[in-house]
Amino acid sequence: MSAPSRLETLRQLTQQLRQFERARAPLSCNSRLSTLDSQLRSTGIAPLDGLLPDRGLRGGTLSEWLAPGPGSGAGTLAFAAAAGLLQTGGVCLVVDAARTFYPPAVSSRIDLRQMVVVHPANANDKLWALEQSLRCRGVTATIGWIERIDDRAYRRLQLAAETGGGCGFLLRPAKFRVEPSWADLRLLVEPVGQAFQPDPTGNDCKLQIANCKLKNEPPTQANFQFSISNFQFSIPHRRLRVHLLHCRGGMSGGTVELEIDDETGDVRAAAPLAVAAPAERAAGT
Amino acid sequence: MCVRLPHWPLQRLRNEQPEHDGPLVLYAGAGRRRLRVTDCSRRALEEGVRPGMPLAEAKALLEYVPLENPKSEIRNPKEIRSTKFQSSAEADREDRNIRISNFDIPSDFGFRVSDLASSQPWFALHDPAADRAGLETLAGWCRRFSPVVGIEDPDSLLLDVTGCAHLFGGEEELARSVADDFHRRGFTVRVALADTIGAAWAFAHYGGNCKLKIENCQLKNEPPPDSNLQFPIFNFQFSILPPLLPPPTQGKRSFRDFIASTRVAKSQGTADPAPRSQLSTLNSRLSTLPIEALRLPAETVATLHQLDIRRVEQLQGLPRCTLPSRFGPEVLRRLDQATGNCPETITPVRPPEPVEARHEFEQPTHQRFALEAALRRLVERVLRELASRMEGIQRLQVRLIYEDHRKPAEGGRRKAEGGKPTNAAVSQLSTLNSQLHRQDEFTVGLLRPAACAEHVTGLLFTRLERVALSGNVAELQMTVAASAPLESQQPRLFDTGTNPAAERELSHLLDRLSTRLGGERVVSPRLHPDAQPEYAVHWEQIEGGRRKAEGGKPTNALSQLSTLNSQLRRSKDNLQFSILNSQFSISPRPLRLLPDPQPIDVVSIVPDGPPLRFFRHGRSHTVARWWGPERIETGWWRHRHVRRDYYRVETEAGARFWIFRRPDTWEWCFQGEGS
Repeated sequence: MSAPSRLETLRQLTQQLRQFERARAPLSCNSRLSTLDSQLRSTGIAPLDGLLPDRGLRGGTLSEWLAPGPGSGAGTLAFAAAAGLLQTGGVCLVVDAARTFYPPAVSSRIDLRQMVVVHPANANDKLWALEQSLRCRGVTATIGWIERIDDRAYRRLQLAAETGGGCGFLLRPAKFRVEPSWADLRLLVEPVGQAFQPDPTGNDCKLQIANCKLKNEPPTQANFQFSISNFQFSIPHRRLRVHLLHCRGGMSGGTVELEIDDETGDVRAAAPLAVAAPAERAAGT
Repeated sequence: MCVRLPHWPLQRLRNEQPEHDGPLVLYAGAGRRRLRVTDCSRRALEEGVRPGMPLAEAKALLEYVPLENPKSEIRNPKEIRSTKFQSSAEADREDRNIRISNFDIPSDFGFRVSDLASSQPWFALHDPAADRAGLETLAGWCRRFSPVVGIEDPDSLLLDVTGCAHLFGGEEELARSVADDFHRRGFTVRVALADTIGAAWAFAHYGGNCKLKIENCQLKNEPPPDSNLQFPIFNFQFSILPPLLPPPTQGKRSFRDFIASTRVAKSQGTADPAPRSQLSTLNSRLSTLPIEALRLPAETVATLHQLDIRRVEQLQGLPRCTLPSRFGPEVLRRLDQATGNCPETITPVRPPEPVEARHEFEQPTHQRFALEAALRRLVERVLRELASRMEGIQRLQVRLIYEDHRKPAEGGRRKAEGGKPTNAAVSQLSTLNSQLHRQDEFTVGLLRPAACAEHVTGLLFTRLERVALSGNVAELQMTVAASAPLESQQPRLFDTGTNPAAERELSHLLDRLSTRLGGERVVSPRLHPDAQPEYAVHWEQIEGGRRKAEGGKPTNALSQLSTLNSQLRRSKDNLQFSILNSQFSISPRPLRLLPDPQPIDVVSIVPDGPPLRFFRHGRSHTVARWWGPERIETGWWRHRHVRRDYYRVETEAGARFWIFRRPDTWEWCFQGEGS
């Protein structure tokens, strides 16, 4: 069978799958699901959109962003995606039980007036706040940090997201990758370590001291030039590799490499060091 | 317009009890021995009483004490004066007037010196609540001049007279009729009219350079026939400042500008107003005033006086950006409010008409479902009452009264039921109840006024879950602590991108969150220009109907919500936002920041060199790349001077962290992760 016809088959199967899902959904959700089908939202990050089967995030879904460890950049990428969703207005609600979320990090991308932060006191309140926020139609994006979560509670979150129609971003450590998940989308965000390279733009400091006058000596013209390796200020982009682990109603297995500029918050595709996995392999052929 | 009632507590007492006409002394203090004079009438001043002196001393000066022992020496010169005064008051008057003129005595307070020789002194306890209530009554009277009347503590009324002046034949006439009205009621006032609230207040209190000073000589000898006028000398002043136009940087002309410009055109007789000159006129007039005229807290004024800053112009001469950190945020806000660079609104006084409902159980119960059913019925009753006023609930107070201690509370309640439910009866009831300690009370605040019974009962049930019942509930009382007019939803011709239904759902969500989790846990972040990372964010509470503790003004929940929901408006705010942003984009900040930095072990080649390896949570991280140091040295005014060299490090695995070293102690700390 030739490639185009296979893609055609896949599309048809996807269509059928969605129809089944719609039939299974409760009656109250039916009309909403059909309208949500048309509500594709761009994350504002073109390469990331390209990784997703629908070329964007669907409203009413949960996405899980898995990070292999602290400081790995999954949160930064999730907030960048949320900023893309908020481009057309709306409110973003952050559920932060640890009280460590620091808004200045995202203030260059998200207008803080569009942001509400909730500091729940315990795990139960955190799940309750997440569910309430996902269920609300006025919230465009709900972002929260979760770790271990009960299967039933997870399902409640997913149903709440379907009812509300917003996007839910759940940030989790990657060790929960093996656990079953109700999320519609699972992304593993890995940082790509880079060896130290001296700055090619010549960021070394040059210091010129003119008319250096020393004691008991006539004034001379002296040039001191040295590089100060103890000071470095221009921060290069950080590189992240995003794996699409699972996607409901679509093919999983894609990988993309992104570069994030910490200073401006811009996200773009990294120079192609790694080849993105082709769709054929993902389809299991 | 600002109407100031100088020495308001004294005026109020004089007016309420005109039969007392002796020297009046107000006192306050904690404990019997610490009573001090807070204010006193002119006559008492003449007798040597001064604000701040102990009450006993004032009593000794004022009360007539016959000298029982004629041999005893009279040491206090004031006593000589008072005895002299009793013998020949008339003859001595001029002499005393000269002496007294050194003090700041605004005007006569309802007595003539000659009449008072035989009167008894009157000592009254200072009662701020009654003063406030009196001002609220006056604010009600002032509604004939303006629909928006507010109160500025302790002694002023604020009237928004925009568009009202022409009804009275001009601004001067308006000011005159306001002053006349107050005099007819027996009050001494100073009236100032300016284009900003701050300026009006300043000139009513400290405006020495009044444009007009009117002394009504006709009334001097014959008081008007109608009133219980205690003020034979009729002396009032008012000043009118030229209208202030907004600075020319603002592009669009609003309706307010239009009004302002027509006012200028009318008063000056020219068609083309000169905004800059108006602005500078106001500024130049303000700049000569003392700094107290800016409504600053007493401590700030004291600090400024220590630095020998006594006039507004000296304050304006200082660099603006240094003012908040040196004297607090209030200074800049008050300054801008006076000059018109920062908007200020008058909080109108509305007559208190509490909407209440209560439910008595036939059998005291602790069953939740019974309580919930009763609550639902109460909410419906309250909402029905509010519906007639087209208002919705903004804050609702529920009191659960338990079985055993109901009996004593009955007395107070019956009083309240007997006549009209007066404020005094209600407060009496509440004090009685609070003495019992056998009641639970909770409050539910809403982001926007709601008339939806389902939503309100849902919130109440959520809140009720958190109440641990300590007995059988005998009675439920519900009071609407704050209500506001309902918003009317108008269908929009063009879709502006905001969905009213979604907005409503959002406000309901925020209500639910803050009811269950507590208001302080549902917040909105605001950037604050502070170098120390922990203080660079302020969390603002999002909750409706609750009064802010410091300002005493209710939070404008609707405006908060609209800013939350609004699309990015290209406005002045946005400009400030971007400026603030640019201040923070000097160096990227981590996504997660520990409020309290954790000490960590770091390996470095040289003591002040960059980190090579660090250990956290028992794991070793090898630093592959690092950037910095970024020296942050600040906070001396918080008495906690910090000096840190921040490094942004990337480990071999590619994770990024934010760590710092204290250069004084060589101690390393972990503060954030670029998660």
